[in-house]
Amino acid sequence: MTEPARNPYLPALARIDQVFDETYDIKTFRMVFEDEALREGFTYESGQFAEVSVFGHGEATFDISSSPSQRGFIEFTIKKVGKVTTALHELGPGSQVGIRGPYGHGWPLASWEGKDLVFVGGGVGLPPLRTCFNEVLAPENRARFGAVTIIYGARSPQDLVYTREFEQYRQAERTVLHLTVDKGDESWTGREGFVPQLLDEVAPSPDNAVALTVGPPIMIKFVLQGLSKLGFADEQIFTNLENRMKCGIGKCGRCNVAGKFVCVDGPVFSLAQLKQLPTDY
Amino acid sequence: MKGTPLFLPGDRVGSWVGALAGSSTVFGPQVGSSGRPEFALVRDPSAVDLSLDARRASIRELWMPQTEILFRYRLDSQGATLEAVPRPEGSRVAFGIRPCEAAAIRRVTHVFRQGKHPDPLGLEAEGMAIVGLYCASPRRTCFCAQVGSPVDMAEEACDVLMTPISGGHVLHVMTDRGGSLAGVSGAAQATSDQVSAAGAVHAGLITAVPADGAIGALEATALEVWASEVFADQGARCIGCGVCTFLCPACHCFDILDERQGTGGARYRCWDSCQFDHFTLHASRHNPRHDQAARLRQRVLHKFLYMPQEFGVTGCTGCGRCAELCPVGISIRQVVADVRAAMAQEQGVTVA
Repeated sequence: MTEPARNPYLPALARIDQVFDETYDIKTFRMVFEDEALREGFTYESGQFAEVSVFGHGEATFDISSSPSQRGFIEFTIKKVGKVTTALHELGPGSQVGIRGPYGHGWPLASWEGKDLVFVGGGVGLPPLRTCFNEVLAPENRARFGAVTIIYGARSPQDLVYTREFEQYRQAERTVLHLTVDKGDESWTGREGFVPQLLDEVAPSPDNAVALTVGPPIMIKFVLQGLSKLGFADEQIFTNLENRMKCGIGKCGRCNVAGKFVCVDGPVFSLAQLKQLPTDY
Repeated sequence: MKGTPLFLPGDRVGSWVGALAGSSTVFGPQVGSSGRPEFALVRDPSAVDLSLDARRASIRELWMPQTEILFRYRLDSQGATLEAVPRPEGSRVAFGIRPCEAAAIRRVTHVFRQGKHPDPLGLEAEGMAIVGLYCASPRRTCFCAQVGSPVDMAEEACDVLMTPISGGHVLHVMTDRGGSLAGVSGAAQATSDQVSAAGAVHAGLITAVPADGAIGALEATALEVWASEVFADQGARCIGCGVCTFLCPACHCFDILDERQGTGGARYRCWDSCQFDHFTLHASRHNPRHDQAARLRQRVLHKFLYMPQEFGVTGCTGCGRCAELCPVGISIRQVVADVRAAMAQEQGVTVA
């Protein structure tokens, strides 16, 4: 006997529990499912995404930025840029949203055990990396992985996200955080310059390592070149594609890259996989 | 042609539609409220006219309405209450659609079935019975016989196929469901002359389709054809109106949107088009398919490369609507033929 087919577009109801102001136009929303069983039972892989609804305004696609090691809530880090994100930014604790997901394939962490991990992020590209390094740095997982290097930059000090968490990364075992901004201000005492330049300076070793990079397309382009120059093989480099999506389940057609759907076959791809595909992303 | 052949006199079509409409929801060719032929719900069986050519209406309406409510919601101070929307109930029959259109309807179900999250709304088309109508002659831009065979498409997709011959139609019953449909038609066993006449019509259409080369699935990787100048040349003419995708019986891409109405609203999906610039536009303004050449390439490769690779069938059945109604005269048949010719030339092979 088959179950009646479920409408896959029906979201689960959730409430915003906390809002963290990351920058002047980026907020992190901690959300809690209304259904208690779902709240406790919802699992996901770091690197997966979900569709978030603001009823009356629509639905949009976001990477889950919390770590699967954290239970009872999920977080999304969202830049105010369009209709749905603007509506979301108007919401505070207690407001209701809808969530569908998780969708897609996350980072293949199981195959990275024992390896050093290099995270290279730019701007609001950090959320899909944060989910992963927070999973790796969780006490119950930390011993399974080697050294963690986080290389992160943004246009200005005001554009850096998760600054409230930087100290904990600096204190974390076998973990190094490197920051840069394109252009600093009077209060900025750190490094200035682009992320690919910082990558060149840090020069992480490719030996028994993998690199994950997410950021604006222009940054990705030069980071990939930099990683290759450092000796990272295409199979050691991973990214999370950001194609526009609607359905999230391989039906609506817009995230198609050759025969692949970013929502179903990604969003995580290795550079080796990407080189088999045309650049429709 | 497989199936048991029956013969139904021409003056009995109306009563057959009436009998079908007694137990099913029937859609058939009629003159619509706009005064143009369209494929619509049959309220009056005598209004069904198989001589009409519903060419400027998309057959997609039959399985995915242009605007389709996914669910409704009510909003109050406590939050939202989601409400499912009733789906069409009972059996549905598409009466008098062409083999190319029938095959297209069946082929898109691959998309809605695939993966971890099938879409039962998109799969409802599987439950729709199809009474196909074979074409006595091709229209100007038809190319079914170049992208396959109208006979094969009828066998692939129809429950019953009607073939027009002198004095009526030969019905080929191809499925059990088709047997039930034909059972209420009052059709009698066809004579061998009638069967031969139908066979001549089947062969005649194939002969009549312009025979300037078959254009089935592309046998290449996306990377091998990506930089083809054909896309740039043809894409340079495209004005991005999207009529090709809106009238295509096999296009399925959609957008998902909300409409707020007072204290409630609806989430709905509506047809969208890979030919529109916003289709792939990122929130950051980055657009992977940044010009019409890239969008034309997507339309062509999706149908002739990606769908064959994923599902073993082309996403085009040669109905020719896109070419007929394109305001700048882009022909998908010609684009594919040109890409194939360019590939063959590169490989040093002469195309016959």
